[in-house]
Amino acid sequence: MLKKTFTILIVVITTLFAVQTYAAKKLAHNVKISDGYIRMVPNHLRVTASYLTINNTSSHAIYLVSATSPLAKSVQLHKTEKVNGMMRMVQQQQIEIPAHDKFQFKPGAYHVMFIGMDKPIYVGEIVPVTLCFKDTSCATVNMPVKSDK
Amino acid sequence: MTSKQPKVWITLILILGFIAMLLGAFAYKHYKPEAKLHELDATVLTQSRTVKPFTLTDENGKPYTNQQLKGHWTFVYFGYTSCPDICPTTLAVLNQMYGKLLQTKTANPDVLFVSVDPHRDSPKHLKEYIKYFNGKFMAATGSHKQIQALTKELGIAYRIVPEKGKTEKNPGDTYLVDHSGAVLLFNPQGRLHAIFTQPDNAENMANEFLVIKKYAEK
Repeated sequence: MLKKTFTILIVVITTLFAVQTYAAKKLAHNVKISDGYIRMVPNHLRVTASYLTINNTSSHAIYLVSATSPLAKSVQLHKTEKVNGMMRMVQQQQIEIPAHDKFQFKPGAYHVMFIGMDKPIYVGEIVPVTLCFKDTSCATVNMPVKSDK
Repeated sequence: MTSKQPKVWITLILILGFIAMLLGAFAYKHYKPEAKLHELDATVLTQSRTVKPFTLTDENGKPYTNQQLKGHWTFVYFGYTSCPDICPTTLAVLNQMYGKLLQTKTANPDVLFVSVDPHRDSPKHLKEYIKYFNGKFMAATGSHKQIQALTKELGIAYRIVPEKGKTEKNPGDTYLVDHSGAVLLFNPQGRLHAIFTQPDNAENMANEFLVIKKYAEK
């Protein structure tokens, strides 16, 4: 009897844990990340940016809260804004992607900023970037380094 | 016969009139008046402005002064190399614009990048940076005092944004710099001639430059 209860308990705990990890890891099927690339910069530079598109076909808003990558020590979400004629970059704590909407990160606007790269990048190199959302789901996207000059 | 002749004439006149109308409509549709200066996206100064003497150091360590602005048109953009988004974006637009101008018979303008971050941007560093975008582009910088002698004159603003918890005097290694996004155009007399406040479209900039140049040479 005790053995049976114990087994059931184990199964329940394992299932709960599995569901939990699943939720923590995988991006919802109706959220798609595409067109991601890292901008090629001169070899001696230690900063760059990446641009991408997030398509949210689900019926609720999602919130991008962080990005990480082996490419740089610090990866931040930023928006370039024009304030009093000056171009200013403002760090974003979260970026809302409304339900049934496509959100574009593009030069001169929203971008993922890489600060403190410890080695040069090369055109064609593939860099993994992990994007995490408020609901704890994350997705790792392989982004090619591209020149857009 | 005599009674029929006027009818023939009337028909002929009507047909000719109709053809003239068609030609007129065609000409009206395809006639493109030359763009007027005030219709451009760029702001063209009603009177070009002289710039007080300034001295910067170019990417080869040589002085860059008012003299270097003379004898050719010059596009000038202010920024810094550790700028991850807007500077490479604008320099890429300028490179594409330059490519479009190469296809015309116009003498090529100079393109100068002025770094407002002399602490991190040495001339050597600037050379590597600017030549990545275009082998013909130039870069210059100086002390903040030297840079401001020029920026204040031109209405260009910039500001060091220290890392969190740091100060402007000791901003950390990865500070950002807020700066004007405009591209300035100087004429061959070395005078400020026009300002591109939204330099994000290479083709448009190339076309507008040609119009501005044509008017200036009239």
